[in-house]
Amino acid sequence: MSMVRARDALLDALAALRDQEPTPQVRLAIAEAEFRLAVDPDVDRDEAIARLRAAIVQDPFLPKLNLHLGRLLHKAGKHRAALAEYRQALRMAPGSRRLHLLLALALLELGKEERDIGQSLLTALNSGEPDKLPAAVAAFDELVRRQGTDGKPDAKPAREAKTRAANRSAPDVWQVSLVEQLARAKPQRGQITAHLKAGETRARDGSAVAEFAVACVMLLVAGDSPRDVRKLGPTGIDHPAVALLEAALELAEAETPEDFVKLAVARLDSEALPVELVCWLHYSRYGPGSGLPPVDMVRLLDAYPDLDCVRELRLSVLDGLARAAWADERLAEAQLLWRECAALDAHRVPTAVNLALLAARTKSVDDYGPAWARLTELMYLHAAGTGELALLLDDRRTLHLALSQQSRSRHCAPSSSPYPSDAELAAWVADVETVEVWLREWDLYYLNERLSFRAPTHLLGVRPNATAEELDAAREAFVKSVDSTLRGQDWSGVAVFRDLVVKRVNEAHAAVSDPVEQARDVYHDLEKPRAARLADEALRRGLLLRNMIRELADKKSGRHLALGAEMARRQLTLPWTVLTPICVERGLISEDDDLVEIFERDLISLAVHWDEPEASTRAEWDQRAAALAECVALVPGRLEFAVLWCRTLVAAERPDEGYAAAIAALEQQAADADEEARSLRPVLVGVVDEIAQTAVPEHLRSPSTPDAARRTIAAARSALERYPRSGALRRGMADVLLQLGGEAHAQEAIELLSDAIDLALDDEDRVKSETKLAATRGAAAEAAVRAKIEKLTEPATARVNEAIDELRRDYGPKALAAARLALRAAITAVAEAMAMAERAQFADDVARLGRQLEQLRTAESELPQDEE
Amino acid sequence: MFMIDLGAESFYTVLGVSPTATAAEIRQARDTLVRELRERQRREPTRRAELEARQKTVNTAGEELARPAKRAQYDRDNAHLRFFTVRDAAAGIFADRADRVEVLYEAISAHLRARGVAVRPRSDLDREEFFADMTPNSVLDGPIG
Repeated sequence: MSMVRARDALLDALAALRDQEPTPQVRLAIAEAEFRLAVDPDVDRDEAIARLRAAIVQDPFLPKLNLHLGRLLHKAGKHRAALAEYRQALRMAPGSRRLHLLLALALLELGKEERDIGQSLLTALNSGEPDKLPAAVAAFDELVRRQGTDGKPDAKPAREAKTRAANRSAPDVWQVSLVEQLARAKPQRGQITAHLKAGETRARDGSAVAEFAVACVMLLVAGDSPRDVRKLGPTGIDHPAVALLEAALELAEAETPEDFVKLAVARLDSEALPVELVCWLHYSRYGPGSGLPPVDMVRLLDAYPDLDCVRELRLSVLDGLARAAWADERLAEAQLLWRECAALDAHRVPTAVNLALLAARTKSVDDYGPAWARLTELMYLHAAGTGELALLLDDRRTLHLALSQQSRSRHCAPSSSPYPSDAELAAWVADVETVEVWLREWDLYYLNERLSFRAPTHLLGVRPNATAEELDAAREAFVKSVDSTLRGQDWSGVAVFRDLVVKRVNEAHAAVSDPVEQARDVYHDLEKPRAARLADEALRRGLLLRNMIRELADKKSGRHLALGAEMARRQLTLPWTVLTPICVERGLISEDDDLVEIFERDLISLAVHWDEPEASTRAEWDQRAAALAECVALVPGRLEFAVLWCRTLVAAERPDEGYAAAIAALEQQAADADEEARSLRPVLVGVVDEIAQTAVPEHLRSPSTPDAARRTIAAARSALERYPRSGALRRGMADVLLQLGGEAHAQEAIELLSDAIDLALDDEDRVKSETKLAATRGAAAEAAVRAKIEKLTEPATARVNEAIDELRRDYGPKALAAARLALRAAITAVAEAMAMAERAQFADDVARLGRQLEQLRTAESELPQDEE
Repeated sequence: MFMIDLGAESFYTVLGVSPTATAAEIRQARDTLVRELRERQRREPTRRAELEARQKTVNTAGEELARPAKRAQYDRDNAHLRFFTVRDAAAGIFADRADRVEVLYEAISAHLRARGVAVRPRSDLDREEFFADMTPNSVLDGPIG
């Protein structure tokens, strides 16, 4: 029977099997099909892992599935996950040498304790005594149990792992055991000999010529002399591997550097040797430490072709020379060499570290900033470029912690107290640059420290049984804190890094939300002490920031606003929902206290001094305005900051921005704001009015003549276009319009005030405009009556004057009659107007018109009678 | 301008060891220094007080660093000590013995395989072909036998 192996056929078979009733036979067939797809050499590793996991679901009792899953995880560098799979497979197949070997290899990749167990497993495999294997596996189990608890062994760890192993080698593991021995810092010669002997035996029977020749080359690599290797190596066999060994030996035996390089280039050209081997042999003979003059050392490399590995060789030589120069205090030379290294690989972190240290050691003002910025950038760029947040995470964390500690220790002596003394604090906050370094670096440290948690609960800073609301809030707070931390950083890839963090946070959110995932989280308890320590650090940071902000507030100066706002931004983005209960527990605050509220008040007490002393330049006002804008953004619900910000913008001669900011703050205030918050609205409305009224030139604000009033109206119209929501401006303009008199002006005033009511910024503002409108309407009605009175009296009296003038010029019966007629008509009109004035209760007009009527009647009586 | 300070004295510099030194190296350095200082106190009685103070410092540094928990705390409080150390920028093949052995073994085996030589894999990690691990399955492959 031939087994189905083709991918398409297996996929078809899988599709068909999934449609069937999941009987045990069908499930086993699905598991086998998934397995065959997973071990296809062309399959993608992620797909292979997923298929093996799916296969295990169908058949959890097939050790080969866990073996291969472990193998793939092992190759992906996930050694602990691989160990778990190997161990599971070993439970089902406790006698498998293959599994024991894989378990050993995974353990050798880890820490010292794991390596010891891995080496004892290898020793047991080589010993030919399989009964020794369970003891090594039991030691592994004990280690896992310990790592899952408090990390302390119940009893002293077994010493077997440390005892010198017998010099024995097994045919199936001699290669791997030899390589493991050669990789050790102190290889055991007896064991190496035993493994070589096993290889030699197999080479002699022709079954492992290539493997034995490779083993001999590895001896050369590990530092054995060519003469010793020649004695051991296979001879007189026509085999490509033996030819390779011979070529390597010949190269290693070259007498002069020039001979070596000439031969090495020839071997590379003929592809007789791999470039990696040539480069290592070169480095071991003519690299740093070889005693060759540095110039010759570098010159020799020029003969090689331009290959990646040769570039690495060159970089290693230059770096070795640079480190020697550094150690000898030849710092300029070290700098030159490391710069050469950076030119060969601009993204190498160790070179960036070295250049940064060099800039610090030489205290070069020009080099320091760029060198440290580049180092930081690279650490984030590598993570962003690979999509692996864990890459260089430990370095990032240490770098930021170190910088944060150093910036703090510049003014604060290291002591057991987490808080500096008053004198230290005063000196520290006065050194703005140092504080800024501390603020920035601690935040970056904190971000990376949180990212280092494997437990999603600790990463998010929530309890395992957090509610959905708490989870959402934690996620939002984390993302906000990330944005705050990374703000202003212009590193390449910072946006990608930020997205990776957000993705990680979302994954953590999903994991904590899922009870199954939660139950699987083995890291929560393990990481609890570290999470508690970090929370403690964050709490101390928050309280220390409070002390610093209060120290700044005590100075009563607007000059410290920018620094205070920076501090507050950091302080307010800390996870206070997690930290507040700790404060309560420690008796730092009572349950009724709201820490965030306390911090906001601290900030207000600093911000109120925004104009003390007056800024000497426009730029300084701008800086204070920017700091207050930061405060507004941090605490958008508090109008105190908006008021101060708008005032600062006015002081910075930016009234339009002040106006816009005030309107925005008023509109954004929640309808359910408390009474205290609402009490600030009139203040902000006052600022709006102040800005608008200031737009009318001072000399026009109280016009005393109609001409001046007209100019005032023109200026006010222009101001109103810029600041349409100012009620005070509209009311003032209405006053001037009424002062000018006339129905049209009164009507315009009414329209202005009607709009003011519609656009009012608060109730008080609206009431003022309504009152003014009512008054204006009364005035407009008066003006209409007065206009009618005038319309009645003015033409009549004008006609009387004309008639009397005519009578004086050309006295006669005709003129006399015309004058009489005019007087009569005027008397009728004035009498009517007076009646109108009496109805309107215009006392002055009644008196004036009475006098006029009297004059007209007198004039009529004084006219000569008809001469008939 | 704020710049880091690389020159500050630390427990490591007191003992003259690297921040990456093992516990054994630290103990040895402490013992050697204390022995030397005692010897000097005997030879230089006029400087006895100064040398005693130095010995006290060495003992304190040794005490702090020889105990893993205390050392971990000290390292944490002085993160710069480990970080602010010149690094080896060379690739693993030149800088690290274990890396070198692994990389070169792979490179040599690959070189030979590319020339048609069958080099037996050291373990399953080097293998690509797992046909032997497949199990005949009657549902998948048809009736067995």
